[in-house]
Amino acid sequence: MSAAEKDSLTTRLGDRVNPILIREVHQALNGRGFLVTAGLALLSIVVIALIVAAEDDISPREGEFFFTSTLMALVPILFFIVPFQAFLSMRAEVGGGTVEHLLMSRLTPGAIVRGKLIAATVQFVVYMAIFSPLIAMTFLLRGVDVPTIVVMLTLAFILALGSSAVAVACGALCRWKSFFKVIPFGIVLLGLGWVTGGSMVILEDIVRETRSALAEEDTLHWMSMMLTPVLVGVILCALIGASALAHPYANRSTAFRVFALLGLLISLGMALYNYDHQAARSLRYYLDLGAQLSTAITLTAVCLCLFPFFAATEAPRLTPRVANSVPRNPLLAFLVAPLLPGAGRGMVFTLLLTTLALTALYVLPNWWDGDPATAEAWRVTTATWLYVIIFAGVAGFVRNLLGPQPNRNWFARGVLPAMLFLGVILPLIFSAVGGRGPVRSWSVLYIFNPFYTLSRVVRWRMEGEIMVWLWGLAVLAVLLNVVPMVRGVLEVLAAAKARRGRAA
Amino acid sequence: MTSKPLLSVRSLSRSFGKVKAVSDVSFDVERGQIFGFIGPNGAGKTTTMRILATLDLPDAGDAWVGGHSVLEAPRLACQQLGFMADRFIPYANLPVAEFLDFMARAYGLRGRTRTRTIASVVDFCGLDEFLSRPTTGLSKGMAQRLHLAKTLLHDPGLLVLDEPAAGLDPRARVEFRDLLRELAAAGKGILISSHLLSELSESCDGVVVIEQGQLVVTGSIDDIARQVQAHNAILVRVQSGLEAAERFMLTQPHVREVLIRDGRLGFEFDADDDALAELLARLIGEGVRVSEFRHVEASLEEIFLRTTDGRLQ
Repeated sequence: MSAAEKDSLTTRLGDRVNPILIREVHQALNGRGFLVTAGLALLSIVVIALIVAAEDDISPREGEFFFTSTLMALVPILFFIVPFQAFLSMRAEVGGGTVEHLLMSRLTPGAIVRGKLIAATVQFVVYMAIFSPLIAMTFLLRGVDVPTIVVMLTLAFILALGSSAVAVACGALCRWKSFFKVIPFGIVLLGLGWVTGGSMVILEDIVRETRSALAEEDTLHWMSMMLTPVLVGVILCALIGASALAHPYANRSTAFRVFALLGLLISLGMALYNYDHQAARSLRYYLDLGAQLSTAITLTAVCLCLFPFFAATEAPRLTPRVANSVPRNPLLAFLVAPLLPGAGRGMVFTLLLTTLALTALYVLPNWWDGDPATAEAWRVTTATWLYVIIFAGVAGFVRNLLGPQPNRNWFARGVLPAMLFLGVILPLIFSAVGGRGPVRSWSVLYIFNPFYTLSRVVRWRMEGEIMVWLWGLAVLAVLLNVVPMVRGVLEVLAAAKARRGRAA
Repeated sequence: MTSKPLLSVRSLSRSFGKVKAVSDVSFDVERGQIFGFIGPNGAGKTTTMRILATLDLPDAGDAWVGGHSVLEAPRLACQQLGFMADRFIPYANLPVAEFLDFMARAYGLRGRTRTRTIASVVDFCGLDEFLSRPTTGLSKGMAQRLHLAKTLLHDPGLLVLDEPAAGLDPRARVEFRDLLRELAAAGKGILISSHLLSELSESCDGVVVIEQGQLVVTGSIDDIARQVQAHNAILVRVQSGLEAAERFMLTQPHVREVLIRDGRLGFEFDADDDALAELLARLIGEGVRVSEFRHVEASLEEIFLRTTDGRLQ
C-alpha cells in the first residue's frame, strides 16, 4: 500500500476498537428498546422538572429532591434495562450458535465478553448524557455539591458495570445444557430486580451517607473498601463468561488460577491498607495487623474454596490444544505447570496457594512492623486452609479414579456436597441412634463438618486434638494425590519437550 | 515433489457415548476441487465437518487444513478454513453492510483492506442491492449468499459447506452452484455436504461417501462409477424394431438385465469392447435401425444407492 493509500489515524484507531462493541452499540441504538427507554427517560425528566418548578419556594432541599429523583429514574435503566439487554444479547449469541462462528475468527472469548461489557458502559454514558441537563440542574439548585454528584455517579457506574457483568456471565452460561438455561434467566431476573429495587429503597440513605463521608474526608478509604470487591466480582464474572464461551478443549483453567492468586494478594493488600488507615487515624475499632491479616486470609479461603476444588477435579490430561501452548523452555514449563489444567496440577496449585497464604500470615506482620497473629488466629486460619486441602484432595483422588474423560469432572465435583452432607448429617444420626441426645462436645465424627469444627476451633479448648486430626487428614489427602501431581508436572515437561522437538 | 493436499483427514474418530459418530475416516481434498460429502442422515457428516472447523475434538485421528493440524494449531487451521454451517442466524437490528463490516473486523481486516474485501465479496455474492436491508429481512436464498459472503471474508483456501443448498429454490440453487464453480476455478478447495445428489453430481469433482460414521468410498466420481459398475451399462435408441431388438438381445451371450424404458433399450454387458462392437454389428445385421448406442455412466444417485445400505445409527 502506498503512502497516499495509507489509512487515516481515525480509521486506524477505529480498527483497534473491539468489533463486538461496535456491533452491540449499533444494535442497541437501532433497536426499539432504546427508543422506548430514551423516550421514557425524557418523559421522566420533564415530570421531575415540572414537579420542582411547581414549588413556590425553591430551596436547597428541592435540589436534593431533584438529585434523588434523577437517580431514581436512572437506577432502573442502569441496573436493570441495560444489563438485561446485555444478558439477552449474549443468550441470543450462544443460543443460535453464532458464538462458535465468532470463535473461528480472531475474536477470543475474553474479547467477546469485554465487548459486551464495554457496550453496556457506552450505553451508561449515553443515558448519562440524556440525564446530564437534569444533573446539572441539581447543582444549580444548590442542594447537592459536586463531589457528592461525582461520587454517586461513580458508584452508579461501578454497580451498573457489576450488574452487566453478572448478566453477561449468566447469558454465556446459557450455552450449557437446556436445563441450565432457566437458572441463569432466573438469576438475572431476580438479581437485577433485587439490586434495582434495593437501590431505589436505600437511595436517599446512600446519598446522605455519601455526603457525611465526604465531610469526614474519608471518601477514598470507604469507596476503595466497598468498590474493590465489586470490581473483583466484575473480573470474576467476566472470567466465568469467557470460560463458558471458550471451547471445551481450550485452556479454561489458567485464568481462574491466576485470579485466585491475585484474589489472595488483593485481600492481603486490602488488609494492609486498612491497617495503615486505621493506625494513622487511631480509630477506636483498631485491630492489630495479625488479626486483620488472619481475618483476610481466612475469608479468602472461604471465598476462594471453590477454585482449588474445581482445579483438583479437572480432566487429568492436557488436551492437544493446551499441550501445544506449553512453554518450550523446561524451567518455564515447570513453573507454569500448577497453572495449567489437570487434576494433579490443580492439587499442586492448591498446595501452593495454601503455602502462600500461611507464609503471608507469618511474614507480613514482621515486614510491616505490626503485631503477629495470635495463636487462636493461627489455628483458625490454618484449619480453614487445611479443609481446603482435604476437600480438594479427596475430590481430586476420586477424579483420578474416574478415568480421563472430561465429562467425569462433574461426578468428582459431587464429592463436595456429598462429603458435606455426610459430614453434617451422619454424626447427628449416630448421636440420635446412640441415644446421646443433643451435640454437646466435638468428637472425631464431626471432622468432615467444617462449620461445626471451625466453630469449636475458635471457642473450645480441645483445639490441639482437632488440629492433629486436620493435619493428619490433610497429609493423607496430599499423599492420595502424589502420583497424579507428579504425573501432571511430568506431562507438562513432556509437552514442552515435544514442542522443542517439533520446533527443531 | 508432490504438494500437500489442502485438506487431509486421517483416521478421524468421534464417539458420543456408545454411538460411534465417526469411525476411522480418511480422505483428501486438493486445491480447486469440489468434493461432495454424502451419506444418509446421522452418517457423521456434520460431526466430521465440525471437527474440521475446530468446533469439536476427535477421540482419535487428526485433520490438517493447509498443513495446520486442527488439534494442535486450531487458530492457524481456522485462518485457512471457511465454515458455513447448516443454518444462519442473523443479528437483529443490523443491516447487511454492518454485519459484513462486523465480521470483517472480527477476522482482523483493517482499514481499506476491509473496505475492499467487503466490496469484493458483496459483488461476488450479488448482495449489492441488499446492503441496507436488515439481515433478518432477507429471503432464504439471499441469507445463504450473505452466509457465503461472511465465509469468504478472510479469503480461506478451503470451504466447508454443510447443506448450503437446503431450502433454496431451483434458481437460487443454480446461482449458488455457479458461485461454487467460480470459487473452485479460483483455486479454493470445497467440501460440501448435501442431500441433493443431482446438484452435487453437476458440480463435484469427487465424493466422500460415509455411512454409520464409516468411510464407504472416496475418490473422483468417474473412478467410483467404474468401481461400482461391475458391468457396462449400455443404452440403445432405435428408429424401428424395438421389440425385435429386445428379443435379439435376450438371446445374446454376455448380455444381462435387458429392459425397455422410455422407448429405449437398456442392458448390461460383461465382455470387452471388441465383443460389444460385434454385438452392435449383429444387431444392425438383424435389420434393426440403430440411431444411438452408448455407455451409460453411473449417476451419483446410483453410486450412493449402491454403496450405502441406508442404515441409521
